[in-house]
Amino acid sequence: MYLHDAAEDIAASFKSRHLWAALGWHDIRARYRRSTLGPLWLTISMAVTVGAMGPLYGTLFGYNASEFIPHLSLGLIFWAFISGSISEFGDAFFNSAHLLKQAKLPLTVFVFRVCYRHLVILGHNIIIYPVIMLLLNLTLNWNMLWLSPAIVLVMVNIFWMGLLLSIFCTRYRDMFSVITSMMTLMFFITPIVWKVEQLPQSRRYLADLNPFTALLELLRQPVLGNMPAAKYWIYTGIMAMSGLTIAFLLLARCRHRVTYWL
Amino acid sequence: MHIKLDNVSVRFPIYDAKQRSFKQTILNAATGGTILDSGKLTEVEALRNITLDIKEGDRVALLGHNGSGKTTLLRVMAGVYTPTSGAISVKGKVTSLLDSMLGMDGEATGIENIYLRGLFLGLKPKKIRSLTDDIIDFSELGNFISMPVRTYSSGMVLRLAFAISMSVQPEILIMDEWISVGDENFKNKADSRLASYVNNAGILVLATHNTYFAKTLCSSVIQLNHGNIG
Repeated sequence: MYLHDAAEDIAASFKSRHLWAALGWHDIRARYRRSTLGPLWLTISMAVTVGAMGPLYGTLFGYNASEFIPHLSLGLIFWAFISGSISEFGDAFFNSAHLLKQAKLPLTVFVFRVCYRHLVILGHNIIIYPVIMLLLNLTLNWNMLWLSPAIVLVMVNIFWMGLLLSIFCTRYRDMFSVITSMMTLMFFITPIVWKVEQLPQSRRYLADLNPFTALLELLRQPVLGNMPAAKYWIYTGIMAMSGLTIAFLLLARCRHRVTYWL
Repeated sequence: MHIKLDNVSVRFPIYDAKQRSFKQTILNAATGGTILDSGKLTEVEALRNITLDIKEGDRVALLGHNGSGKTTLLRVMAGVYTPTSGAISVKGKVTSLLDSMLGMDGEATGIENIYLRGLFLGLKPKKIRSLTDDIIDFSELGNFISMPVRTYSSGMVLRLAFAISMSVQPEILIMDEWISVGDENFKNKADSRLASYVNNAGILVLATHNTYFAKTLCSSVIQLNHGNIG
């Protein structure tokens, strides 16, 4: 165990925030380098998805547009953020193998790089929500301020998952495919499109057991103008603390081996 | 400032080498380290029991055949690989130029690459901005600096990489091979810049195949053979 080295790794990442911020931005720009609209394509494709799914599923579930479309669009936007980062953590070290073999760099820099990349994507996707609010005549609400502590708590959770997954996937390369298919499955069993209240009372615990429900509701409820339920704060809080501990211990144990696995 | 290695060994676990031919094991390979097979896990021993003591002012050349462990030893000194056994102590800020292309991206422009590479060298954004003009001047790339690097010729890429690397004075400099750069004109300019760069470094460790460079630039030579010194 090299607890000290692990702590140093994380501290060094905070110091080199310019590096992962630049790399994260760079990834987005690289993806859209020769396109005219660039990252705005993210916004457009999200708008099209919401536009296509909103009326259809709203009718299927028997909700009217002004209550269903905000729920759906925020669900899809925040899910894209959560699942997008989680499925890309598997590649976090591989994609930077040429850099990691050059010089001693903190490993967590590359975890932050993925987080930051997806924060930028989230920033692009969320643009459509004010438009939806205007179209549906929704009003601002003080509960929206809960979004800031919520996003911090969600980021902490995403960070430890990322650290865990990126180390794990570097050692066991099959894990990458496992995670990709697991996140596809999660899309259906997490209340992204559907609502927890559609489940009969006796079955709601199925949704609440799912950690992604808590992460998603924590982000979605404030924007909808509600304070997220206390159980979600507690759930994600406990998850953050235990997850951070496990990820930290794993980093301490494997920090020195990761470059050997690349 | 120093680099001390005490009985350092490096072994790479090979997870996908379930079957290797018996013939290859028997024929003593002319290249590479030693392949160890303990039944369960296959490992390549790239370095074995290396003990070194490099002090401030030392100029060390690493010589050896392909796969003798030169690059691995440089990476151990740079902190990329932590020795599997043995101890290493490095005092001083290490700059490693193991690959002239470090952090270069073909789709990004020259300016963007200067920024990225500067960050990798541990510079603050402000410092990079103040160095950018010098780097552009030295590389003589002119307007091409705002073009994507993929439009450069290989000589131009090397010019840029060289100019960026030389813009910061290192304490401990770890270099793989010799960076030979560009056409005749630029080469003269580059050679004198490189000479002063190397001279000002506290410690130089250079891996090369060129015994002439090893003799002229370095004060001591370490011969590596299949991961051993000697």
